[in-house]
Amino acid sequence: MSPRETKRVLGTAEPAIDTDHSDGTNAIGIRIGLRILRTGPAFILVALVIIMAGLNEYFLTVRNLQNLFTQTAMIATLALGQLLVIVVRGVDVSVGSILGLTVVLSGLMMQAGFENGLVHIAVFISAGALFGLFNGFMIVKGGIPQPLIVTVATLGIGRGLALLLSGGTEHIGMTPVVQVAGSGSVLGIPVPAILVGAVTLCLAVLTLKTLWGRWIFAVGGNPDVAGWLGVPRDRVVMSCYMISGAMAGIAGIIYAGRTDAASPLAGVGMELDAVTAVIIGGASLFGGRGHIVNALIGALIIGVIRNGLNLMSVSPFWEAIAIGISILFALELDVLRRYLEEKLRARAARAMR
Amino acid sequence: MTKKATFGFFALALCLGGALPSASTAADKPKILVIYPYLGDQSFVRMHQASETEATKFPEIQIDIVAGPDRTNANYFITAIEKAMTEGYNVIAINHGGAAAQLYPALKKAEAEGIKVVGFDTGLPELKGHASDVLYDIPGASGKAGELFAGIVPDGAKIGIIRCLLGNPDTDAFINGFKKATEDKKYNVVMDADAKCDPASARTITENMLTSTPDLAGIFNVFDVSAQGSLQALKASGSSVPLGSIGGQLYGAEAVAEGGNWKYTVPYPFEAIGIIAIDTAVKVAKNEPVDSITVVPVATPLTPDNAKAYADELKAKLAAK
Repeated sequence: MSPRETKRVLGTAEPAIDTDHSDGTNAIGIRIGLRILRTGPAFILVALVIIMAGLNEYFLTVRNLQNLFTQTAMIATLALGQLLVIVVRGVDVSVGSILGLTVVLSGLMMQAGFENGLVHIAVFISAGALFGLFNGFMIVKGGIPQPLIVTVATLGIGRGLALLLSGGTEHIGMTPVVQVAGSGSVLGIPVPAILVGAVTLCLAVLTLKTLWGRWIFAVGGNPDVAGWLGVPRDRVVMSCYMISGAMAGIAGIIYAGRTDAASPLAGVGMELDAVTAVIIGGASLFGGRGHIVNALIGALIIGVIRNGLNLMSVSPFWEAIAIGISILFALELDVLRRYLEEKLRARAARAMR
Repeated sequence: MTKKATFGFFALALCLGGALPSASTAADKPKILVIYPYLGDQSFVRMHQASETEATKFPEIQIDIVAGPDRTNANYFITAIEKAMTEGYNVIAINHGGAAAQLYPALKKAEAEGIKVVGFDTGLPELKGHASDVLYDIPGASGKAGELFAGIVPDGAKIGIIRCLLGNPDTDAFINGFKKATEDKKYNVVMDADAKCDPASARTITENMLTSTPDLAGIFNVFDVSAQGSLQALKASGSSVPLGSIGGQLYGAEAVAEGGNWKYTVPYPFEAIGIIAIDTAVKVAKNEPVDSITVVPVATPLTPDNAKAYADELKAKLAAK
């Protein structure tokens, strides 16, 4: 990289930098540049995959890729729900507890001898959705406009309920449908990955192709203006929390299926992974910005880092540090991506004048 | 005050009243506060239940048993110790779950106020001069786990180790004991990872172990709670890699009895520790002599030969409760 190019990347180049190109070339170049930058998280993911594949011979094996998709499925599902909440300027840190609570409810049904798989699935999803709706209700109708505080409180309530209902002990042995959902595979593709794919597709259609999808970005972008324009913002916010809760229920199905167990401590700490995945995926904590596919990619980035370090047998004492540094690195790459994106947008605006 | 607020206040008071141990006991009874870290898995629940049952045998002593929110929450323990000082308890019996170092200042302060301290399950070695410690024979149990492992896995083989809680002195002691017992076998430990006592994490780690080391010959997953996750990974991959653990929890015993990958579990004497802790604390409260250290001996390891009988007996005991 030449000194001039280095200066540009670091943002110290002179403002008048387009004089040596024609307008037409500029416009095409800027469009291509913006398109590339919007896929920033995907580039980070690809870079990480290349690095991990270079460091470990087993990383790109079919078996490990199957493992990777399965291992990432829980975080991905939580992140997809979390994205909706973050887009409407909220955050839901209770999802780990919701996951634990739904798992315990399924365990209790098993203890009571009730093994109908479809009912179990319905309980996972509806219990999660109800809990999420309660979060949304408290934030919107309960007059507590601090989502973090509300969901910190319900995080405690959810975990407490899980411990109380289970008596603190694990139940081992889940219904076969749940086992398949967490551990099965179809034509070599893990069922949890198929579940995540289906959920991603549904949410992508909801957010990109429906009026509700436009509403959530409108509410996240500017809630007051959205309200003036007739968007039912309270119901939009509550629906996002409800979907986030339902996603936690689906993650609960995967957890219970993977472990064949209902532990009241299931999902502890996963809320932070979910939020991190969404932010790595380029969403803004200030709302109004985010993409379903990028949230999924954010979850995969975390999964690739964890899986890669694990394959390399990084000492557990170093693993936590390495993961933290890797996540910071990924976030800094995203900061750089946004900086360049803003520069290119400014240049595009100047070119249009 | 509005009706809603009044209702909320009384509801809160009712909840707190239900959560706290009763204080309506005779003032002249000696008082013991038994502190557990949390009740989040079968091991602590079984120990706690045994303590509660044992406590009913001593109506002449007020024995209050409390449990916290998670395994190593030092703030909770310190609050409980301060409660003991405020409410004039005579004895504190504490299972610190691995947070001992942070508790010494508070415990020393309690001792300075005349409260006697009993450590149980995990001892208080640095708190010199306290009344007593009731400990599990960790070197013995981990040695037994190592011996059984050595009997299954050949010399020089590649093995994986999964911890339950990184930095927890108990876990470290078990792992060190296991390594010492197997050092003659010259195993190649290809991965030493932390599952945080979470079966899902243990499954992930095991899957990665199997991928990165196709010729893996054995896994020692320190406690049953996470070994359950390893078992699922081994089953799903159709692997024949043997698995060993410590715990003797019901599902562990049942899995060993089935004769699959899970080859043994060395039972942790949860009930015995819970009972002896109460008995020792009662003796201390009555100013009777106690040993400075009581070691609870290693229980018979569970293998496919005896695990079913153990599981049946334990199931009956748990059902009775």
